[in-house]
Amino acid sequence: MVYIDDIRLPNMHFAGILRSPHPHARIVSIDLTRARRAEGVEFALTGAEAAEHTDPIPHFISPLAFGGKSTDVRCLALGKVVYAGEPVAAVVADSRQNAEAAIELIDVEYEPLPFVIDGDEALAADAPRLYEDWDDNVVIQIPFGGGDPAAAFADAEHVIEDELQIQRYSTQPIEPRGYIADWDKSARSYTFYGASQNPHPLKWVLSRALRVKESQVRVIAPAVGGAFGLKMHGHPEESLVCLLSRLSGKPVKWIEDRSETLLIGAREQTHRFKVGFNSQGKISALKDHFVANVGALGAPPGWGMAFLTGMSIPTGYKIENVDVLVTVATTNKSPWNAARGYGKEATNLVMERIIDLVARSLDMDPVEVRRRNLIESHEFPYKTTGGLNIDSGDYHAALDKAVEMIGLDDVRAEQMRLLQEGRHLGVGFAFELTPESGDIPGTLVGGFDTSTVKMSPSGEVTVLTGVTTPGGGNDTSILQIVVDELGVTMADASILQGDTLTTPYGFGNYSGRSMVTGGNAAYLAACDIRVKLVEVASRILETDNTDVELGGGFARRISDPSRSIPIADVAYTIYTLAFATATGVEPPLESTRTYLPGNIQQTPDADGRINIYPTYSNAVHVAIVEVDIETGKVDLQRYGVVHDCGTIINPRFVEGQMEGAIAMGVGAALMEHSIHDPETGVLTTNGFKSYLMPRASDLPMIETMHQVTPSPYTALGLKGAGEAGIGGAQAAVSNAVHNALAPLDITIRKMPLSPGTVLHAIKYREKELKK
Amino acid sequence: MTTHEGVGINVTVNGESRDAIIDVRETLVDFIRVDLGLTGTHVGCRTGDCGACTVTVDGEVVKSCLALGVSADKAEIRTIEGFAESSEHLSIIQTAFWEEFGFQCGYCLPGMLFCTEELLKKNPDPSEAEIREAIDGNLCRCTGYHGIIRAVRRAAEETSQAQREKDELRDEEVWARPGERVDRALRGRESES
Amino acid sequence: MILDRFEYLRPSNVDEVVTAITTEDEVAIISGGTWVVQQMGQHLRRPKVVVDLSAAGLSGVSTNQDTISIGPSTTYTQLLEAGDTPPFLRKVASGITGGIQIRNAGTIGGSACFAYPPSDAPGALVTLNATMVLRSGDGQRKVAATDFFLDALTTALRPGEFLEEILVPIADTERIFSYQKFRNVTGSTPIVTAGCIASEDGLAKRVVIGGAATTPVVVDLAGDESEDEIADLTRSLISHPWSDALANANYRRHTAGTMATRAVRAVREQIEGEER
Repeated sequence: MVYIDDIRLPNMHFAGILRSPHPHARIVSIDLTRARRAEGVEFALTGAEAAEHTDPIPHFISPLAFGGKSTDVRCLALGKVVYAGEPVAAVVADSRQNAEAAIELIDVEYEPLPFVIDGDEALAADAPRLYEDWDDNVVIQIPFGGGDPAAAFADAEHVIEDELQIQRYSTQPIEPRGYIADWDKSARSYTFYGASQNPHPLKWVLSRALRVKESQVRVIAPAVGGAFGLKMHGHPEESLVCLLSRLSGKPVKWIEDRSETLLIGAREQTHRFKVGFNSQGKISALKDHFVANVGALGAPPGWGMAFLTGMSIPTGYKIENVDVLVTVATTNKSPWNAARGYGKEATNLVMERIIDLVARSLDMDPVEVRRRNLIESHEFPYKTTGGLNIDSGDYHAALDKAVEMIGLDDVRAEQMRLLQEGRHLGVGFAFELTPESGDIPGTLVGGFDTSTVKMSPSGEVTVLTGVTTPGGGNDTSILQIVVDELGVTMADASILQGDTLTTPYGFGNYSGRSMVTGGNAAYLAACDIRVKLVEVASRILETDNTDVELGGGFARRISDPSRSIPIADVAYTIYTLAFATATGVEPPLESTRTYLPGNIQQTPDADGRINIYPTYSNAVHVAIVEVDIETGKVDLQRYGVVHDCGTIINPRFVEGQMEGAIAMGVGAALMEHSIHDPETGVLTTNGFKSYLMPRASDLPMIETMHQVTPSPYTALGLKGAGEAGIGGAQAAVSNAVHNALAPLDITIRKMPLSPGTVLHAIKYREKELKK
Repeated sequence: MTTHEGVGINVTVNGESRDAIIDVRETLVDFIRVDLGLTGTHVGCRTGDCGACTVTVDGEVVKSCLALGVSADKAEIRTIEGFAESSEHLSIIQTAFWEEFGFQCGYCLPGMLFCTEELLKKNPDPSEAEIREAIDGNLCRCTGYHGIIRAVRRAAEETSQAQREKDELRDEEVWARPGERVDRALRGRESES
Repeated sequence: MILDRFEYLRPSNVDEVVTAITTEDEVAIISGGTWVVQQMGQHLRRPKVVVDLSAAGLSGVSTNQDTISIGPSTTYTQLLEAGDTPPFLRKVASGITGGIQIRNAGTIGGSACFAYPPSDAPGALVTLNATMVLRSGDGQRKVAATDFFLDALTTALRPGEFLEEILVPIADTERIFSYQKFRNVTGSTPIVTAGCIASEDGLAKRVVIGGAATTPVVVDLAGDESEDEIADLTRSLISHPWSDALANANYRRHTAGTMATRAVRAVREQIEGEER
């Protein structure tokens, strides 16, 4: 495996990037004199100089497309900085050490400005404004919903109002970002190597920012050491290293430090919700007005997560009267980028907390409340008030399986027994709906993708696809589809991804889309080739083409398996006897096909709703925790999940995705938190000693069961897999913690459920009870 | 010793003696990756937290981002490139990680493999908790550690099996005792619909 | 990345160490390097001279009459493997955050000299009533562990002085003990540690709290206090609380009481068990 930092080009130099120490400041002056004289330094650049050569970085998803506000984002700050960590100046030197040492010699005079890092405070009329041409700090406000919420609340037997603050946290793959740019002066073109999820769209972005044609940019994505959304583009460093290469005349590498990776945030949202329901636990009305603190507006697609949180409410629950208002606020924190789950994890967390709050207020079994509100299997396709057209599922069966898997009655009995000893065991359920394989109209977030399948005269199969892999195994799974279809062995097949020069145009990897789009496209292309192979094989085997099967590297008669021929020989025949045996079968053995899944609706319906997702995976999660009420520490003891992502190509890969996402969700539930110092506006959790992530001993084995409800809208019945698990785990763990603390009747309104937060809630409640 | 020209050191890397002139500012991982060109050792944090840079120095697993390159003078270093006895075949541990989906993106893998080897050297039949503890110095963001635990368990069983074959022992029951929770999870997997 | 070049010295005996560190320039002494090298990489330490003790013959555990001598460069793994390691210290060494790799490289003396409040070492050495033997060009001096830790990241070491040996009274190492450590999750440094070794007369009379304050806090008890009294007393003694992104001062103070109680409870239960 070759990762970006393993690539070394001849005469390669290194970029060092000076970042703002201030969350909000005017740049009075930048003096590069001392830096330019430093050991090994070839070149240095300010934002003003960069702006002479570049245009703003195109937004991955422009808020303008949805009626919001936008701002120019540049590779180096121009005039002022809006977050601590914003790139201000850069150097190119002969080693990474020298580059970083030279940065210290850049003299910048800042005039600090008042700043705001809290989402609610940013909305105040007198809050410091990030962008002077905006009249507030609101990127966009979007309503979702339907029915008559006001009337439904008025009629509701019970109403609960509450709040949930989801913390800022981050994806943090173990490989940080990194880029290498190599400007070829004579060809006037860039070769850009980057740990990127979306090479083709990135090529477009670079060409826009760098004022060149797309044909002057080639993007190559080597093996990626985990991505989870972080390696979607729009980051200032992408176009910056290109510019540095062109202006310095050297190939330039930049590898991110972990403290820089940790700047990139996501998911900080405060939900204020209200739910109306009857005594049977049936929910009739839901209101959720939430504020997303997206930090400064960056060019990556981060802010769009909040949009999809709103759109995905109320997940798989049949709630007809819904009032959602999304407010996306900018603050002087560093920008978001996409993060696995892409906002839908927050929807699941909030919905599942709401269900448990309803259950608790009625003293009902939370499983039963879910049962009474989930969409029933005969009601699909089901259109939600958010506009999602949910394809298929059997949510009740999944719920039943989860109850059985965990042995709920035994768990409850154990819980009662331990409580006698003063120990607090809790069990929490969460239903999770994961809309996958999205398509956002008017953006290069496409819902389709393209694959090419080729077979050479020697029978070797090559798959080229527009989707990329961050290591989750989609390459192997796509190959498996092709290999199965063509009857060859894995040893005779290979797949190429990530090079914009060789692969068909595609959107890369996000939204659990790779199998649905790239996999299906490869399947269609393989079918084309199969038809030719079968036709020619039937001629060689002197039989009808319905009597031919392909498998194990051979074509054989179904009626007489002893009559067979190697598939390689069939391929050779097609290339060499095109005017004889293979006449009428058009060479070469190559096909490029695009798969456009059904169910995407880009044109708004009568209510203005679009459906951006073709498939809807679902899962039921269940967690068992013990809470130490003296310290507030949560011990996750058992974890089970019933997962339905339609047809499964390779169960181990799907399980691997789910297990990893659950671990991430457990991290989000219990420990992961990006914290900014309120005094300085600077990120304090800037390393893995302060930004804690789950380690092996923090997790139990994850017990997985599959349920298969094929999608009616995709060729193989596949639904996306890859994002499911984050919100489900957050919710199941959170519900389990609340269940453990039920004897104390505690509601915790802040995530994560760190020992400090849990203990604070317990102590606060104890004081309340004393009064 | 402070010179811009660097400091001369000699190390034995994967069995081969290497002389090098090294910039004192380089940590051991930089020396391994940049000077020696052995890029199988990865960098994830440079603060000793992620374990992707794990190598052995004089037979002990360490995080090479926490050591100075110059400190490795006269040391014997083993990197992932020298993990298997031959470059032709994967070791038992590597095979187990492959078979049990003990990695996805592969970035944390070198550290996981070295820690597994260290564990099995000292404890041929580790419990699930012992396996987890042995890799607690290594972060994996893809797998939730699930496949890794299975892989280590399998590596333990197969290492023991190989040992047993070597020793011509026949007692099946001594070693084939999977971790209780692993066992349960695997049973769950078999019964899935 | 380490930005500044430095002089690197690896002395092979104690006298050479003294010579190496006797300089006007800023010296960083490294043993395992697990703290100092990352500090240099983050530009928090920028020494002109780095003195590496790994070849100075300062590791190992041995027993001499009434004391156990621990070389400051003894790694946690060596502590776990050495026969003479006090059982209390063995327990401490087994739980060091960072995995096998850190146990193999990190040293007890290095951690003591770094004096990071949440580390295990400061509290553990105070619990053990250790004596720190400091060496400089002027000779040796001995400082009790309680007097060695002056503040967060600050010890009694003077410029030109290094930790040569750690002495632990053998009498303390053979008694019943408890070491209670609380951390948020596996990857977190300790939030609070509580070490308690039974007194000569078989009571839990002294608990040492690490992590809660800038330096270890000694809680002296009569031995018959109730658990609530122990918790309250402990909390009242945290006068210079430590606070960071993992836990604030209030939480640490509160948990110090909880952990002190648990340490005493564990010791009392073991004593009762023995009496039975």
